[in-house]
Amino acid sequence: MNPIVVAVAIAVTIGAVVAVSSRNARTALLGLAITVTAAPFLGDPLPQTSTLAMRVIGAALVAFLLRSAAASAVPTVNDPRPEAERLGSRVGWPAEALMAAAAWLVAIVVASRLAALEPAGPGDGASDILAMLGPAAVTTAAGLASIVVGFVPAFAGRDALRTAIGMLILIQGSFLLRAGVAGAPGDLEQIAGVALFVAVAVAGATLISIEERHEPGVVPGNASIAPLPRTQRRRDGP
Amino acid sequence: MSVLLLAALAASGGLATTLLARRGRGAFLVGLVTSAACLVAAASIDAADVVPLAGSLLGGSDGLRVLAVAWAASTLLFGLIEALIGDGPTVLGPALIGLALGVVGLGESDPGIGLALVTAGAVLTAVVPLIGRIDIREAAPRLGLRTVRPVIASGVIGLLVVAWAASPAGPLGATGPVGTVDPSLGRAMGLALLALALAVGIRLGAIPAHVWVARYAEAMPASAVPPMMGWGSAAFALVAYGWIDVTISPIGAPLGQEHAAIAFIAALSIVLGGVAAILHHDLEHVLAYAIVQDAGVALLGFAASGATVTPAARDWIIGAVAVKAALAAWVLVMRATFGSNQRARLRGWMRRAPILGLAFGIILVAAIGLPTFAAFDARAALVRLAFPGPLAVAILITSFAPLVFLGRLLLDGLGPMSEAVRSASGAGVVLGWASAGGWAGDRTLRRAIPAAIRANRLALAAVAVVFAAAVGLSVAVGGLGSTTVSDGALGAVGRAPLTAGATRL
Repeated sequence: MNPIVVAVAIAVTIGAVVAVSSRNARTALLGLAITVTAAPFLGDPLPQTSTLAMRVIGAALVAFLLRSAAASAVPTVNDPRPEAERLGSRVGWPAEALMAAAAWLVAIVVASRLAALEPAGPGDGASDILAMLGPAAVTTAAGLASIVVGFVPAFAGRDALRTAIGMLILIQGSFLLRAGVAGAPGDLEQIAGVALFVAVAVAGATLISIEERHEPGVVPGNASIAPLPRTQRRRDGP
Repeated sequence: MSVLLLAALAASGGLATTLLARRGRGAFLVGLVTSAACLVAAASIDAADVVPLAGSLLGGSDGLRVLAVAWAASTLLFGLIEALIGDGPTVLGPALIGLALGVVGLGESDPGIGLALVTAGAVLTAVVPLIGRIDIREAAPRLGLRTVRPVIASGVIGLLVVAWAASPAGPLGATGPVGTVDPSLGRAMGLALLALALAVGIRLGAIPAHVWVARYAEAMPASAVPPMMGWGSAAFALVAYGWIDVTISPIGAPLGQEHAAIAFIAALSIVLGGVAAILHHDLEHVLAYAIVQDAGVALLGFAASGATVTPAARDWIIGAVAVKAALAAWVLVMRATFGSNQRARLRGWMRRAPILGLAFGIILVAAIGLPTFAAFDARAALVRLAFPGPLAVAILITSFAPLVFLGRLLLDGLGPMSEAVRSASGAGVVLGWASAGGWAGDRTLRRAIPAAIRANRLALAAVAVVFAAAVGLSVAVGGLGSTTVSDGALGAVGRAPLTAGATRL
């Protein structure tokens, strides 16, 4: 077991849970940023420094794009819906965390018993839990957990921000699962992954801005991000 | 290098066009010049031209050249039509970016990379054009979300299937010599085949995953349809065909039940898509359900095994997409010319717009096909291989539904003119100084040429549709030509591909 790899995998999962369950846009985007920034470090072996840097920069760009779009949105001053209905998980973060933990358990147990994935692993009848936490197993676990928690917001999200976050978590989970079961991706595949991430972030930011332009109040931009309502800004001057 | 050059040109030009979209003329200029340059670059793609790129190999092929030329030509023609009759370059920029990502995805031999890039292109071509849609302001966000979800779903499923199947834990990582397939591995391969067919079915809009195609086509201008649901979908399907061709097909696992399940879904799309296109009376829905029907035939590429299946599926998908792109161009110009999309209001359209009539005639021939057309033969081969005798005949006859839903539009056009058509200016050509209208100012060529273009914009757009139809017909006749599936270059970089072989188009 490599404790650093395990810690990174746990950070990726916690970030994913925070991203999909937080009712505050800023916190959700922080969780997303943690997930997409930490995930490249789960490769075994790690990619070249330049590729790693590109993935981290791409992750930062993704978070920045969504944050900019959400920040420029008018806060939900007159939105009659409760805050919980606008952003965040309906089942709450404890339930999301439990689902992620269940996904971790499933992935660890299955991966550690597949000799193909963990040739030096414990195999059948293993009782040492630390020995089960090999790099492929924890990468697979972080990927499966991301897919599990990202699925609902991606395909049943009520607004563009939540849907975009869910899609990014889901795609991140797919790439992690791929890296866990099939080994570290090549450089071009990493670049392709960044292209997909940025494309989804651009699409999400576009939809957030359209949503806000046409339906003021729907975007859960949240007062913590948006400085002032436009009307108030106009009244108060620059 | 030629593929890389094309991708670099299209990506940079597409980005510039998108960013300049509010400055209409400048954006059109950049976009159209880039499109023309992309067409030249696409025509120069060489099968022997392979370059190392970030630890992988990017190369051309004859098939990729045919596809890229048709894709770039379609982008250029839609850009011209948009410049002549549209509000602004809302589609041209994203379409160029989609072209860039698509050709790299198809030029790359790893299907995981191909699926990721093609999905990225589809996401952008689906959403970015919504920025300019002020007429559907309240529906735009929901439309965008409903369109992106199936694109992401298909991409994620495809990525997971390809990764799992070829991993040490998947069936392809554990196969023995050809012909000795373990039954449990056969079931796993069947599962992989079903999952990939599901991804392609969702992406192409096959029934029952067709609703998003209809909603997108009815809400967006027809120019947004080909980049998103035509070329982008075709690229996705081509990557999937390539993967099946080099992984599951050569192993020869018995997949009868899986093939039957896929054939059933494909038959549903062929029959119900054709019926829906016949039942609808507005042009956009006819276009959408024609695409759904084509998706059914394309799915048959997963419903049979054999050496001829994948080449036939490739020929079909590219021919169908090129023809439907031309049909989308025709729908776009028809709506601009007559201000309506309803059949009842378009009676006699051909009398007022004979150039559009010529284009439609070419589209009709290309859509139905003739024996010796690559698309025609491919459709017949796919149906024959996927269905038993009498059922194959019935499905094949149903697949000729375009004869009905396009043929009646032709008959409408030849009939007596409706009031809407009579009152429309049509797409007639205005020649000489009359093209400048009542303007009596400086009659120099510098002023007269723009005035003549403005006066003849509908006629010029109709001419562009004729070119689009000609592209569609030529692709339907020739197919992908000498498609190559290269697998020899991968060893040079010392990295095992994700699959058992390369899937470059």
